[in-house]
Order: sequence, then C-alpha cells, then structure tokens
Amino acid sequence: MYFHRLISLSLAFALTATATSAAQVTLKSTSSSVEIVGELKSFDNEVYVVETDLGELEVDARTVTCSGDVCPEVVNLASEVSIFGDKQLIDQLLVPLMEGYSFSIGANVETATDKTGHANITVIGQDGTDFAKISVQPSAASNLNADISKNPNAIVVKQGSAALLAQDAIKTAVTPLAADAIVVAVSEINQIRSISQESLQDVLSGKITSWKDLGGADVDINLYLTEKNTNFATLSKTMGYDTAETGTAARFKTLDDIAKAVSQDPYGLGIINYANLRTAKALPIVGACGAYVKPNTFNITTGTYPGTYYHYLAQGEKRPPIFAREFLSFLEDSQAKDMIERFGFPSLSLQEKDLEDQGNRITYGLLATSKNVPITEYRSMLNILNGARQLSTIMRFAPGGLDLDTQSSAALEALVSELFLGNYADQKLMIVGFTESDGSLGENKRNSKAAAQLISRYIKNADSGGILADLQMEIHGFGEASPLVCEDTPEGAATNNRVEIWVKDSF
Amino acid sequence: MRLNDKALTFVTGLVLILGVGTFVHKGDELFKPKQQNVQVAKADISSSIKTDAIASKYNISMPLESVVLPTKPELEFDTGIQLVRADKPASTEAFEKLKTVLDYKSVPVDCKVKLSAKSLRSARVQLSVTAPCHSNEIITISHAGLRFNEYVDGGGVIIITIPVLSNPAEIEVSFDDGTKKSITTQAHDLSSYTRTGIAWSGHNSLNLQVLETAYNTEKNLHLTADNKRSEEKSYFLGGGYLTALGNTAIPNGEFIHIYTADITQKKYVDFQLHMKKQSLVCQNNLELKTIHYASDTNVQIAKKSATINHCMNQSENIVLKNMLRNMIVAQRN
Repeated sequence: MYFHRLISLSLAFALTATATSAAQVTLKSTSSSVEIVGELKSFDNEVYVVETDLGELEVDARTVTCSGDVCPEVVNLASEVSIFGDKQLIDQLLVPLMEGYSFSIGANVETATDKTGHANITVIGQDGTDFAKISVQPSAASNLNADISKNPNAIVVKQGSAALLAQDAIKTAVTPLAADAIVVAVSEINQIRSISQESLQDVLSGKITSWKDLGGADVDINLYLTEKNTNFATLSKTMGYDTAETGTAARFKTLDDIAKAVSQDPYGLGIINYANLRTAKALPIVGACGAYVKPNTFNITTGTYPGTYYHYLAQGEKRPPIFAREFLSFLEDSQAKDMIERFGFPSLSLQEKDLEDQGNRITYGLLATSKNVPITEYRSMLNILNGARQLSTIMRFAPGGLDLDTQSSAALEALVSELFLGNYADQKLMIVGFTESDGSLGENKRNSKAAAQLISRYIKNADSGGILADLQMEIHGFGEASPLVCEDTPEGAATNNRVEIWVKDSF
Repeated sequence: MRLNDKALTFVTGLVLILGVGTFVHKGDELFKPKQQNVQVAKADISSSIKTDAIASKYNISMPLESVVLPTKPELEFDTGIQLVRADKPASTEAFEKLKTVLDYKSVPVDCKVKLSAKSLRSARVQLSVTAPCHSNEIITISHAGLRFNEYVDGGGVIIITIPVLSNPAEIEVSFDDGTKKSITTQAHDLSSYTRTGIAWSGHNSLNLQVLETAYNTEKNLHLTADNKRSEEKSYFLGGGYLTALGNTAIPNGEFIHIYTADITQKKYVDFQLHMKKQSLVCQNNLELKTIHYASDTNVQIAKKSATINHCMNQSENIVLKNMLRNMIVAQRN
C-alpha cells in the first residue's frame, strides 16, 4: 500500500529497463518482485536516481533494496521533519492531517507529547521500520521566520490574509492549507442579526458596552477575547481587529474556550476564528457602505468575507524531506480536503452557489455603486448569469502585476484538475471579470474583461495535452457592476477586483 | 447407595449429555426448543464438566441441540436437574459410556468454539460465543486492530454487542490457551455514523467522557461509562451513545470506550479522558490508542502517549483534554 507514488509511477514502465555500465544497480521492491536495473546517477539518502533504457527514474529508497557494486550505504531512511507553528492549529489541523496521510499510505502513527506540548510523531511502515520522525514545536508567529531560517528544511504553519501573505518575508514555496476567518461570535439565542464594522470597532475599543447600542436589550456586553500575547491576537490586530487594548474583556487561552463561553452566554460576544465556532453563531458584518456579508464557507473560501485569512504551510530554502514533500502533495487530494472540512475549516475544495442565493450581492450591487452603471449593463449581466452557478474559485491578482496571488493560483489549479476530470464536461464555463469602482466605467469594463481573458489563457496553457479542447468557455467583463464589499479600505477595493467562474448548462 | 445406583438415578427418567449443543439463555425466543423439554442431570458447571450427550427418561439416548442453563450455576435450591431439549437419539455407544458418574465426567468433549454474529441497527454486531471448554475464562475480543477482555460465563457463553469500525466486520475471539476463532459479518449502514474512542490496557479507572452540545438548542448531554445512554434512546430521541467494552474486574485488562453519533444530527462533541489519580499514572506516561471513524473512510487508529503532569494536583481525578480531537457532526454551512 505504501509503495510510494514516486516508485509506483516509475515501476509501471520500468520493468524491462536495462542498462549496462560500471555503475549498474538493481533496485528490487521490498513489497513485490519488481526490479529496476539501471545506472545509478545519484542518491541523497531518500531517492535513487537511475538512468534506464526508458529514461531517468527516481525511486523512493524506502521501498526498494539496492544490489550492485556501487550501491551506497544507507544509514537511516526515516525522513526527519520539523514543523513549527501555532500550537492550537497544529493540534487541531496539522497533526490530524499528518495522521490521515500516514494512514492513507498504510503506515501507523505514534505520537508522544511532553509537558511543554512538544510532540514527536513517528510514522511506522507496515514492516515495522520508521518511515518518518516528525518533531512538532509550538512557536509564536513572530518567531516563525527565525525558526525557518535556523531550520532550512523545516515547514512552518502560518496564518494571514492574501495581502499579508504577499508581503511575507518567506518567499519560498507556500501551500494553502485551509481558509478561515475572524468572526464575531454570539450565542445561538442572541437576537442580534448583524454588526457593522464601525460598531465592532467601538465594542473592541470600549466605546460600546451595552447590547442596546447594537439593537438589543439594555444589558452589558460580556466580551470574550483571546489572551493578549497569542498568535490569534497578533493576527487579529494585523487584520484590523485590535483586541489587545480592550480592558474589560474576559481573556482565554484558547479560541475553543472563548466559543464555549459565548455559546453559554446569551449576552456574550467573542472574537474567534470560524473553525472554532462550535455551536456559537457568527454575525454577518455590515460595511460602512451597507454591504452585508455573511461569514459562511462560500464567502470565506472566495475571500469575500472581510475577515478572511488563510492557514498555509511555508517551506524553508532547502528541499524538505521526502515524507514532507509527499504530505504537501497529499493536501491537494480530495481526501485531505474532506478531512479539513470535518475539522471545522472551510476547505479549499470547489463549492457551488446559485444566482438565486446571491440576493444580497445583487441588491448591494444595484444600491451601492458610486457611479451610474447603465441598467442595460445589469440586465446583460443578469441575463448571462441567470440559471448559472458560481464556483468558489475566485482569482485575484497580486498587487502591481498580472501574477495570481498564492491563494488564487491554488484555486485555479484545483479548477483545472476538476476540468481535467471531466466534472464540467457538459457545462459552459463562464469566466467573468469584475473591478473596483475607481476608474471610468469603460476602463473598468475593459480591465475586467482583460483579466477574464488572462484566466482563460492560464487554463488553456495548463491544457497542453488538449484534454479540454471541447470545453465551451465564455469570457465576460462587467467592470464595477457587482461589488462584493465596501471599498472604504484598500483591502475592500482589492476584494472587488476579481475574476469569477460560473458554470451553466450548455444546451 | 452404590456408585452404579447413583449413576442409574442420574440417568433414570432424566438425561445426560453428549454432543455439545448450542447453549441458550432462558426465555430467548430465538432458541425456542423444537421438542418438548426433558430433564437432565445437573452438569457440574462450575468445574467445567462438559455436557455432551443425553439419555431420555424414556430410556433412549439423545444428543442435545441446546441446553437451558440456570441463570446462575449455583442454585439455592439444588434439584440436580436441568431442562434441556433434544432433537434425536444419541448412539447406544455414547449411552454406554455413561454408566457411572465418573464415566460421565470423562465423556469426550467437543471443545469447538462456536461463534455467531447478528447485524444490528446503528452498525453494531451482536456476537454470540459458545466455548464449552473455557467456562468462566477471560476472552479477548478483537476487531479492527483493537481488543477488549470479558469473562465468558460458566457455560463458556458470552453474548455482547459491538459497535463495528469496518464493513464487512471481522471479529476474532481468543482465549489464554491460544484457542482462536473469527467470524465476518456485514454491518448495517456504517457510513451513516461517525465514531470516536479510545482503547487501552491496564488502568481500569480511565474513562472517556463525552459532552455533546446540539446546535440551535441549549441541550447538553454528558455521557460517561456509568451513564452511557442506550443505542435505543439515541435512535429514538437523538444524540449519540457511548459503548464501554471490557470488564474492569479483569486485572490488567484491555478496554475500549467508543462514542457513536449519527452524521445527520448537527452537534459539537467534546471528549475528555478522566482517570483516578494513581501513583502508577503519575510515574508513567499514559499510553493509549485513539480511534476515529468518519463515514466513508477507514478507521484511523493512532498510538498516543502523554506525560502526565497533574500528579501534584489535589483533585481526585486527572482530566486530559487534548488526547482526542473534538468532533463536529454535520458541519455548519
């Protein structure tokens, strides 16, 4: 079972490969009688690179034994992986995912945790040998860049918005793990239905202390916040929710404890992340211009909800060990995405939403645009989108260029994989660009269409094999006609500049 | 009375036993006798005399299809008689062997372990074990790489319900002498449930505690090994149920506590491990296996160990919160 992806791909066509030279080796699989014969080009204690008649093959050393004069001495094949990051996230998401991956390759897992929370995970192969030794070390967000500098083949778990991610000092490979969001949590039985950005800031600064000022009863707000020095407090502050200076709040060590307290207190209000909501209710946020955005999985996955941020894994400069590389690849599988959802996180897998479920957006689009967008433009847009479903794939460009941001690259890649699988073969794919309201109507319309065209080119370029030759694609640009959020901040404007993917029956 | 007379009294009008039948519990409709009950001499259950053949009061010998055992081997009013049912006559040779009590005790015994498994609602299996040569012994029941211990009764019988973790479900039973037998059965509707639990050995004071919080209501449900909640209640009233497998009276035994939730019931579930403060725990790491089964996946069993650092606390119980991840059933949208 844990006959590695690397070798399983290679062996399929390498059975008859032969080569004769002084450096000839025979690699025999430990789980079957399959053999590869070829010239050993290199060995890095993880992968044999062998030149065969069929070309160069990379073979996972854990799954074969090497015979031949030039076979290198193999000291220890267990991958040693170090992971640094927020303790709660590691416990809640990363360790279960590592376990899940280990089980998926038929290995067993043993985890030993010491008093400080430092966990050592040993992944054991079916033959009883150690497959990987993973050291998981809780670390403050502020230390993560130093951690990865000191341990260049480590992996760090970070959190941040797409904008923050773009500014991160770590410029090496980044893998998005899950979406998440800072949410305002209240009890399910609290009668308040939404909160404005402005009111929220007033609650956090202590200007508003009664539910009366939020449209509720004349009762004090019991504020529940994380301790001031946690990674979540730091993240909240960078995203505009400064919880450090709020004097009257009850402080908790974990977000889970805040959610518990809020769930049990009809007059409680907590600032937590979406994944830890438990049974509490997350209030929709109303922007200064009246835009109303619900914190649900679709709005978070698409980056529409203002408090959206991402959990991602960043690698150091050195190539991580083979187990870590394969784990990162596993994160793109639907199995991993299902697990992430089960742990409470809005996953990055593709979701769909009908136009009829987008009432808020249409209403807001008509009411809030600053310029007089012709009604014919709305009619044209709604005519095209009528009967279509929006996919959760939204693409945004990194500031100052035509490169997709990290999150959008991953989303586009996931979309292309779905298209390759033929999941939308009988559908018309509509690539629809939108912009912020800054600029002229004509310019915005042209820019939005150009952005949509760019995405269609990315899709076509990814399809070098012509698998999608029959795919029907339409490109549209509607400029500023359908903003998602208020543009009173640069982040709001950036959210509205996007390319959406819609699908519609092609008949 | 001479020995032979005793033996005659033993068999006269009564029955002795040859050929192991399927032991049944009194009143169990599933094992309703096919023929009229006849009486047999009381087998010495506590000393593991193996019932093997009968002779009827009508002076014919019969093998048993089943024997109705008394609820408890040691009856207050000892009649020396038990009820059995018989289907057909046994061989004359077998009957000849039963001339004396001693002979009776030395009758060759069929020690085969018999298993049957019945699939129940909520992906559970009712396992029936009959092991006539293992009366009152410890039995180890294994499924999906997990094990727990129980005692079989004086007749070598145990009937136990197990929430399964794979479909088809393979269950193996074994005894200390190495006797093993396994059975495979289909589990009903396993993909409609999610299960989380622990398996461990040794500490008999360890307990899985489950706190269920339902969405949209303030209903909380606290389940422990002493307040497990039946599957029936869960089925009709909603909420999950906890199954505690393993007999705490067995020294150094193996145990499984497992919580089951219907995936359609929207709720949030916290898990905690409680254990009584014992010097053993304080001096050692706690070691256990965590069990996670989510619908449409294979069960995930991971070994976990944690350094216990609560020994200095004055409280009677040690509470471990992070050994099991909490469960979100039916994710919000």
